Amino acid sequence: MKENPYQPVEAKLLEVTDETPNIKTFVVKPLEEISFQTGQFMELTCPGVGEAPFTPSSSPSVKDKMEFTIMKVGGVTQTLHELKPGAIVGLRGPFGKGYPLQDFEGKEVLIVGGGVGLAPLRSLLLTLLEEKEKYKKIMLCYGARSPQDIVYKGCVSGWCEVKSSLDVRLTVDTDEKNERPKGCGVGLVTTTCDSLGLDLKNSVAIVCGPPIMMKFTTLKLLDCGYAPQNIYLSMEKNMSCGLGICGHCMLDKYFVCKDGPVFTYEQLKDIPDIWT
Amino acid sequence: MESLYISCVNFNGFLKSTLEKKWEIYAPLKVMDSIRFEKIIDPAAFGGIIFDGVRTDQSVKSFFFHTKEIVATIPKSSISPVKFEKRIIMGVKGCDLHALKVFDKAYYEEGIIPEPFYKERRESTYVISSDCGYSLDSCFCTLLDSKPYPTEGFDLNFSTLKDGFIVEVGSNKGEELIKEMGESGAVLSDVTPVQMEEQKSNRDTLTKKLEEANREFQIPKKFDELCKIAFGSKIWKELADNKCVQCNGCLHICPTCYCFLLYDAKKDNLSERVRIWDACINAGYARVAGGANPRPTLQSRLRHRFFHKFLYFVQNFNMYACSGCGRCFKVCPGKIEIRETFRDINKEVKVKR
Ligand SMILES: Cc1cc2nc3c(=O)[nH]c(=O)nc-3n(C[C@H](O)[C@H](O)[C@H](O)COP(=O)(O)OP(=O)(O)OC[C@H]3O[C@@H](n4cnc5c(N)ncnc54)[C@H](O)[C@@H]3O)c2cc1C
Ligand code: SF4
Ligand code: FES
Repeated sequence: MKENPYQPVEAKLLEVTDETPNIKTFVVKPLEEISFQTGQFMELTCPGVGEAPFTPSSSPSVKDKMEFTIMKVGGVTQTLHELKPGAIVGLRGPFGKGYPLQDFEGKEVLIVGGGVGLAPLRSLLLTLLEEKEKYKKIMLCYGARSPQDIVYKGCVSGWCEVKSSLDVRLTVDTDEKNERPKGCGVGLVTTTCDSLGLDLKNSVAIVCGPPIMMKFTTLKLLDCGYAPQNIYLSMEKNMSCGLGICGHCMLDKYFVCKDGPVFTYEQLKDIPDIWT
Repeated sequence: MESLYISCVNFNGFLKSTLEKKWEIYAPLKVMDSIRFEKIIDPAAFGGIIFDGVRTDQSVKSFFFHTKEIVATIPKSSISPVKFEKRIIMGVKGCDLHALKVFDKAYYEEGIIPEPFYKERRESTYVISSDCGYSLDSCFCTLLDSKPYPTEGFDLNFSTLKDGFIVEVGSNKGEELIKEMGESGAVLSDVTPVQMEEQKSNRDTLTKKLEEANREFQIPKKFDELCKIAFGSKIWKELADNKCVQCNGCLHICPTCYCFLLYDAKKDNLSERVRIWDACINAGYARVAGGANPRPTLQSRLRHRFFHKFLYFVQNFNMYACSGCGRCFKVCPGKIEIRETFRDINKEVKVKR
């Protein structure tokens, strides 16, 4: 057996940043270099606890480190949140297909994120910005539950500054204490998709977030006039092997880990119950 | 395909030589009232090997896909599957060969790489299949366009005659075995027209009998076509509410269920990665972060079980991931029957029209 696909590479945790009360960004350094494409995901192991899939939130152009932005939701993520710099974790991958960047070239790119769904989109955004002349326009719409729940608080304002090439719209579902940053609206993320001012015939939309947000955003985008083949969705499914074998991630006839995790709505639109 | 004749005496002589060379041999033996694959360690057991029986009770998958095994560790250590010198599994039936083909598709082609644990075991194993001598009420290979005798996927196939076997050679590994037989002193001769006739008549008789027994389940639509219109069928809820008790029996006994789960466990200073059989019938199988579940109900999971086998696998590989062995029905406390389920779906769509 040449290579054991179940064997993670060890990686050292370098830095942990609090993003929100339940989301942290982890900077890790794999002990063997791992190269990936933006949109591909990794299986991250907490030794003795378990493994879970996460998409790096950093750009693939940074070769020796990887960042992950992770929400605490259960077993593995809880333990990850307790780790301190210096801890050893495991990494397998990359898995899945990256974002089809060549299909975005020359187009107006709309990125819509909800909650921790901004993690893979941040990697995409950083990648697009590295070669921003290739894209006609880049627009980011991001929605979080409350001002506290906004991730990458520092960066988001930074992104606002590269205004000429990046248009940012922020919104929070509720803001009881009036704490939202300047320019941030109140309302569901779908409200940011009103009057986009984009040339929809020459635009692609990339969406990532919780299932309910993906559903309503997709409906909204269709309503705006996006064609199903121009809407790219990150499908979160239960994953175990990442190899296209174990069966866990099946969505109709697709294996999300190898055929996705990003699909166009065109590929999914006839599948019953895709949003559950 | 090349065919030869070998007498029982000559074949047993060959088997004895393989045992002396420390090959591992597994063959169907009668254990209580069941036929099971057992390891043969003594020539005294040769007489008990059942070539012309029916499928064994346990399927052949566990030889290649272990119920539970450690596949990696952190920190890294040298985990690799045990290498067998040579292993022969005899008396494998047509349905289990179909199941092995499903595994080959799933484990060699479906994934991004060939699954290495499966591959090593598969490559070091010689499969000697054999024609069924009779069938069970639960057998329905003929409904899935298969036959009660192997037509592909074997290294050698044995058709039992009065005091010997017609040996069909199906692969290069089969050729190797024929060579080994010759070297062991066993005599192989050409098949006579009379022997050929005996094989054909045995095969035809059993095929007819099976087709007859399955006539009541014959429906005009193909199973994958039926699935396409059965997503909203009320059958799934009926199975869930009245029959399935979620024991997992069907999935463990199923020769084609190939899903697995990886989990990590602490052992001393190591974190061991364990791979165990898993099945889509389990509530947690598809659950994602924080408890959301794309298949929260038993009925949706039962439907997925049927759809993976009869629709998605057909879409991906143009074959059913079901062998028609009927083992699932035999173990099911709720008596869920694949043939019956499709017949019911067919009835339901007819009524609706
Ligand atoms: C392609 C992909 C990319 C992702 N990227 C990110 C990201 O960047 N940031 C982020 O915060 N989250 C991301 N997720 C979600 C993340 O994988 C889950 O939050 C994580 O698996 C939850 O693990 P847990 O043990 O803490 O949760 P629990 O809720 O405790 O999990 C319970 C059990 O459910 C199972 N389970 C739950 N979710 C999954 C899953 N998705 N895959 C496999 N098994 C699961 C596990 O077997 C686990 O034992 C991504 C998911 C996918 C599929
Ligand atoms: S054997 Fe029957 S009861 Fe048990 S899980 Fe399978 S279908 Fe359900
Ligand atoms: S995660 Fe195992 S098949 Fe996709």
